[in-house]
Amino acid sequence: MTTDENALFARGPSITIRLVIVVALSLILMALDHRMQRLTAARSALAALLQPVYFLADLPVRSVEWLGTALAERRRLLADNERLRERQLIIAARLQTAEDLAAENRRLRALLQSAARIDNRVLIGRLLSVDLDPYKHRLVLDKGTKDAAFVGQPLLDAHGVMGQLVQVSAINAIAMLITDPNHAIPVRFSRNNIRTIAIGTGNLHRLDLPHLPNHVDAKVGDLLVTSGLGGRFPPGYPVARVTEIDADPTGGSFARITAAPLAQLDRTREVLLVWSVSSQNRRLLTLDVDHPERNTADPE
Amino acid sequence: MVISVTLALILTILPLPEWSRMYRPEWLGLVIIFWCLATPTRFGVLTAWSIGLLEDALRGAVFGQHALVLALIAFLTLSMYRRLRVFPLLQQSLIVGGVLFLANALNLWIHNATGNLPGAWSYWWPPLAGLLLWPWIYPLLRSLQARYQRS
Repeated sequence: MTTDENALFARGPSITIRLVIVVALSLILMALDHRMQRLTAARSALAALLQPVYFLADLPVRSVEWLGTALAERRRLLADNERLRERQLIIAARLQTAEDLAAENRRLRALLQSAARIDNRVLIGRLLSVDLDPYKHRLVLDKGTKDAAFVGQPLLDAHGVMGQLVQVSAINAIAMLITDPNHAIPVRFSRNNIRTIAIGTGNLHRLDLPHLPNHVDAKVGDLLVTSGLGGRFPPGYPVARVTEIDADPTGGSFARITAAPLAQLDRTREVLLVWSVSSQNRRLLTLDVDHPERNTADPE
Repeated sequence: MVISVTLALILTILPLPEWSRMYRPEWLGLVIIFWCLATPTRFGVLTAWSIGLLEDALRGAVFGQHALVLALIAFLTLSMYRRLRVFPLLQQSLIVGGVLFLANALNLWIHNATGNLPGAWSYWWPPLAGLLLWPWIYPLLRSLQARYQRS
């Protein structure tokens, strides 16, 4: 105890000084990170260091899953196998017509002399079951720079667009979902090509479309697809379906339109990372990750 | 110490059932309060700050956010650790709850300044959960510490 006391007197006043130093450092860091996005490298280095933490936190869920598969009855597995095989056959059959259509599309595009849409390269990533923050919609997945993932890369599941990567380390990446309150994604109505921006609400089942006038031609059930403006998301992928239209919420001139994301944001375990040709070209530009809406502000 | 901090980092992101996510206490804050009480000469504001930087990278938060919050927790605890140590456990928990409450306020303030946050009352559950857990965590860590220091 005496050493404690002595030490305390020796450094008594310095606690406050240290706090002041630390507060100043934090403010500088936050400013650097938030306003200028200068710390991406440091961030990914630290995140790589923390890899074991992600692994251990994910372990309970993963082992339960593993046990589930290990103990599953053989009969059920066989049934599953059968079902999946049938499904695969159906999809393969559909794909044949799709290939035909793609070829036809290419021919027509060549006739029109417009830029052909080149097939995007995809990679399947697995989500780690970790909770980062109940108020931010972020996911951790098991792909990183070793798989050529990059900050700003779009993320899809089987049903639609999920979000984009905001932090990438060597073996992990953190993705922001389209429903994060800080996220915005440029979309268009597939029915009539009205372009707008869908903004996250913090609710997993809701997106807001705030910038549409109240005489806009929108109907409940309209499909929203990525418009490709801003160059972040490849064009033409489904995003959400309109669920509610309030034409005159406060007597103003803007409608309040909400949409439900098509991707199963809270249920998916496997996601698709997409490399589109345009996104690879544009990633050389400086992009504003925390404010994706700023990136999409450039007019067509 | 390293082990308890690592464990707290894991607990910070461990998946929980949907209903309990709002109540997840600030595990790192609790661990830091403990070490500030147990070894105030070796565990200081700067250590807490560095651990906070790790938490920021782990959770993909703005760099410096949790660092600042944990440094504040360490500062408050260190500034009254001699009184806090001799308090009965109940009174100690109340003070710990107060410290966590202040830290939570700072955290929310930074959250709000750097991005928009949907308003909800559930932001105030974590300090309460921390308060309720402290009477269990403190004796546990204390006994573990005593055992491993002797060996």
